[in-house]
Order: sequence, then C-alpha cells, then structure tokens
Amino acid sequence: MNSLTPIIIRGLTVSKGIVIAKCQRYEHGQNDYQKKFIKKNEVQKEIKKFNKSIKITLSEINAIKDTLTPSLKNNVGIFLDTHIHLINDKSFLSNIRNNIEEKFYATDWAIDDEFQSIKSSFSEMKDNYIKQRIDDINHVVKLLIKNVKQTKKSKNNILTNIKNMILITDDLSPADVLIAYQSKCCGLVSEFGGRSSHSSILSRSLEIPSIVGLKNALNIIKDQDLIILDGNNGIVIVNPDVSCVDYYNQIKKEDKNRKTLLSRVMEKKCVTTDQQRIEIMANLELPQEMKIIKGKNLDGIGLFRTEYLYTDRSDIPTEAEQVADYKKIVRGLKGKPVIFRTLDVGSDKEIPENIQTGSIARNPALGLRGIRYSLNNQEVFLNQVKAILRAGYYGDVKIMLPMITTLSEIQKAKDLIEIAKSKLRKRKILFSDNVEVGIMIEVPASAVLSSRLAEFVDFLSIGTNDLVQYTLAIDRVDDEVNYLYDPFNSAVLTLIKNVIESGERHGVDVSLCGEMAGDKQFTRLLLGMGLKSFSMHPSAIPEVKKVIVESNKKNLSKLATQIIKCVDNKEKQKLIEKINSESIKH
Amino acid sequence: MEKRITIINKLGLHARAAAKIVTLTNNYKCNIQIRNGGKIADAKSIMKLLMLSAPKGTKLTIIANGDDESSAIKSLISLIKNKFDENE
Repeated sequence: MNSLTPIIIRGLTVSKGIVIAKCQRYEHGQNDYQKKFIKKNEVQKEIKKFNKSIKITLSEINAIKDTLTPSLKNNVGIFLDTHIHLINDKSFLSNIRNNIEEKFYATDWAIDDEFQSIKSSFSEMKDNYIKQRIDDINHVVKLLIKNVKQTKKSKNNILTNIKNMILITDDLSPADVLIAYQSKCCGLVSEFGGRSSHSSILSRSLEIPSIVGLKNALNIIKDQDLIILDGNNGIVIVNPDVSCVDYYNQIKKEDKNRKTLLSRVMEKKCVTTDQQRIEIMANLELPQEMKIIKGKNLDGIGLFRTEYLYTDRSDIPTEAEQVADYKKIVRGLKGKPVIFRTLDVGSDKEIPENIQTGSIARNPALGLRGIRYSLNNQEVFLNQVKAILRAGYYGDVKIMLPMITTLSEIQKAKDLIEIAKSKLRKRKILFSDNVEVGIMIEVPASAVLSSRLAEFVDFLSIGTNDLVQYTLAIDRVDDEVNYLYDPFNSAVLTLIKNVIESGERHGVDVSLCGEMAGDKQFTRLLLGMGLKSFSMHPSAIPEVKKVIVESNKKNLSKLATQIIKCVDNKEKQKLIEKINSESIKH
Repeated sequence: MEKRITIINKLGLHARAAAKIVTLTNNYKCNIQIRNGGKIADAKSIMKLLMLSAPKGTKLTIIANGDDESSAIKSLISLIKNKFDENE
C-alpha cells in the first residue's frame, strides 16, 4: 500500500490547542433551489409550507437549547436566542409572506429573495462587527430553506457520531458548535468564517481547538483521514507521517507538563526559599481581563490602565460610566488592592481624537502626556478621580499618577484629589476618604529624586519601559536605534536600585510594573536588588512566580550589585547567566 | 415619550445586544421605536435594530407610545447603560 503524502493547509486560528484525530466531514451545502413561480391557487399551500418550516426550525433550535446544562445556557444560550429572534422577526416574516402572496414566489425563493435584500443593506454598513452578523442571518435562512423541503423534523443538523473526532465543514453555525461540543467532538475546521463570528466566539469560550477559513478543506480532506489540527499556528496537516505525529505528541505532552507544573506553582504561597514574602500583582488594561486572573491567587492589581475608556469615541467618558467599570473591578478583587493609573495619553500610546494635546507635538514622548495632560485638563482629571474615589467605597483602591517629574505636579494633583472629595461630599455620595496616592517613576528626574518625592506619596511604582527609553534617549519604536534599548544598562539599574532604596528609607512601598517585571530573565536580578513587589501581564505570572519561589533572595544581592556596577557588556552577560543559573538556587 | 441615549459598549448594537433588546421589548405592550439619525427601527424587530448600524458612540433616540411607555423606556435605558451586561 502506498503511504499517503502529507498535506499542509493554512487557515485562521480562532481557538488554540493541538488535536490529533480522525475526521468526519459534513457539508451544509448552498441554498439550492429553483426560482419557481407558483399559481394563484397555490398561495395558501405555500404559506402553510413556510409556516411549517418556521415551526420545524424553531423546534430544532429549541431542542439544542434544551440539552444545554444550566451554566452553558446562561453563558451561550444568547447565541441561540439571537437566532430564535431572527426567525420570529415580524418584518422579516412579513416580507417573505409578501413575496409569496404578491409576487407568487415559491417559498424557498421567497426566503432567499428577502435574504438577498437584507444582505445588500448589510453590505453598505460601515461597522465591520455588525456587518459580519449577516452570517447569522445566513445560517437561519439556510435552516429555513432546508426545512421547506423537509416534511418532518430532521434528526440533527450535523452528525452526532463525532465523539473524539475533528469535524470538517463548509460553514459552522453557533448551533453546530454547540452540538459538536455536546457530542464531544475534539476539534473544528471550516472553510468559511472569521475570528469574530459567533461560532468562533463560542469555540473559544468552550475551548474547542478551531481553525476557520481553510479553503477547499472538504475537497482535500476525506472521512476518516488522520489529521493534526494545530490551533496555535492555524495549520492543519492531513495524513501526517509518523515523525510528524511524534513531534506533535511531544509538544502536547510538554504543554501538559508545563501546565500542571505551573498550576502547582500558582497554588503555592509566593515566598522565596529563604522565606521572603514577594508580592505578585497583575497589570490589566480592560475590565474583561478579570476572568484571566480569576483563581490566580494574586496580591491585587498593580496597574489598571484606564486609557481604554477614552479611546474609540468622540466624547469623554462620564463619571457614572467610569464608576460602573471601576466598581466591577474593585468588587471582583474582594478587598485586595486595585491601583488605578489615571489617564496616561501621549508618547507611543495613540492619542484619541477626543483628547486635545494642544499643538502637534514635535516629540510626543517629551510633550503633554500623563499627569501633564491631566493638570492641563482638570475637568477630565477630576471626573476620573471622583469615579476612582467612588469605586473605593467597595474595596481597596489606590490612585497612581503617571509621568511625574517634579514635586509641584504631585502637590497640584493631590490638591485636585481633595477638591474631588469635597465635591463628592457636597453631593452626599458614598466614596472612600482614605485612598492612597502614589506615583509612577518613569522619568529619570523622579528616579534620581525618588527619596525626596517619597516623603509626599504613599507608594512608588517603577515604569521601566519609559524609564529605559528616557534614560538612554532611545525611541523603542525607532528601528534604527532600538537595538540600544537595554534594561540591563547600568544607568537604568542604578536608577531602579535608587528607587527601591528610597522606598525602604521612607517606609513607602515600591513595586515595578514595567515589562521587566514580567520577563523572567530579570526576576532574580530584581529580587537581588531588593524588589518585593512585581506587577505584570497575567500571562507572565506563572513563569515569573516559578523563578521567585525557587530563588534564595539573600544569595542574590551580591551578584545583583556586581551586575549593576559592571559596564563591560561581555562581563555583564556572564554575570547575568550566573545569576539565572540553577546552581545558586538554594 | 422620547429619550436620547448613547451606545457605550465596545461592540455597539450587535446581534446579541439587539436580541436582548427584543427579549426586553417583547414584555411591553407599547409601541417602541429606536431612531439613529434618519433611520428608524421597530424595537421589537432584531433585523431592523441591526440595520440601524449603531456602533459604539452612536446617539440614539428611543420613542415609545402606549400605557407602559415610561417603564419600557426606563428598562431599555438601563440595559444600554449597563452595556447589555457585556464586559466591555
């Protein structure tokens, strides 16, 4: 027997994960029908046919809905409700009935004609997300047309004997994804589809590895073919050879081992081997990221970026709107601290059109950004501060001021915070009166003077991305110079060390929330420099925490000092390798 | 009765959001329409609501006529203000 040639097909990954399994094809087909006129005396019969099709389609969708577990129904039932509403839509139905009664179209044509006219109005829409919902209407229309021909309720839309198999289809409706999930199908491939389609959203939330946009998949792949679905890279390998299967099995095994190892780390208390308690916090930039940190055993949110509220809109978010979002975050943390950074526009962050930063800055990194913008636009700042103070009533919140350069900026901002409080008091609104106020240390000037500034604030948080950029005069996004961007540079490390010591001297907490905190090659160096609080992107937490719990803090300080002092790059590289090597673990 | 409101959720008045509106408005007897500029939609028709094509930031006018108009408008406003219970 000839061995089969492996074929690799590339698509768009919509839900990650690797699956190696046999596959089953299912083709929904097109809305095949002939444009047929009916006779006048057939109208009643045709309308009956149509009503029956509606009834069957609704009962099919309701049948799927009924099999859902309650929690699944709560989370994903809305996708099916959307289809139910579409089928029940009065204007949609009456237009189709009109097509039958007045134009004498046969039912399938009448349905498709209405679909075509909806499609043309959707194609004129500007918003791409809403535009894509034509797919849902298409799914519903397909079901209706299919059920015009069907006289009885069909068994199921897609095959149910797909347990532990990968389903290959032309197009997936949300209902298909749910059936596949319930049938324990282990992977989904479709020729058609986009990342933000309802079906893709569903496969992500149900964690079924899935790739869409695999053109000709139904022609290339045959039933019972063995395939590898690599949802991490968006490829499907048909008829893989033995070495390829071995390779993917190995990756799967490593992934699994890493996951169990890291989840074990996450359960542990975050202490070094010499019993030093180290804080681990998350950086978030959107409220929905709350679900990523759920159950992660964290010490709080060290940086909540608020810029998302101000982007993609023409006006400034209201106080009430901000309170609603902030409150959700604070409540979710159940008493653990949430540090809100006030609006930080400018530099590499895109400036939304509603934010006026004055004349076009020649060098935005040195322009009206961070606290400078807020002090120039006090109403915007006051609004935000009031919202944060109000959210503070529901837990532990702190205010963090970005881009502080001088003491007067701190004083002005604190005065405004007091004004915000008195305004809330006048309105008799609940808020927290003792919210800590801290500053970001990201400008070299404030790092040098951190000891003086620390006297006036409750905490310091080092923002390394900007600190490195300003200290070394390197624009990170400039391809011609970004090779000089180096967080290991001794000038940078000296500044960071100075900030950590300033905090200790004044009994003020110091944390680090820049990218260095989430990069494990810096973890031991920072521990050795005396850092006790790391705030990073949630995805980096397991790896960094693993390094922390396997390190002896006391043994690191000497090497850290050597690294700070060393200005010879080769020598420094050796020291870095040494501090990160296994040998000094205990 | 008329009320103006801005869509504030990230995805705008998309299909699931429109489905929530229809589920809600079906509980009221009054006639409810939503206007976006020159376009008017029956708030009980998901298709018409989608065709309003109202992304985040769109200012809409809700118009209700009938016995329960004030409570219908009130609950619609709170649904939209709560971002349709979406996270963003």
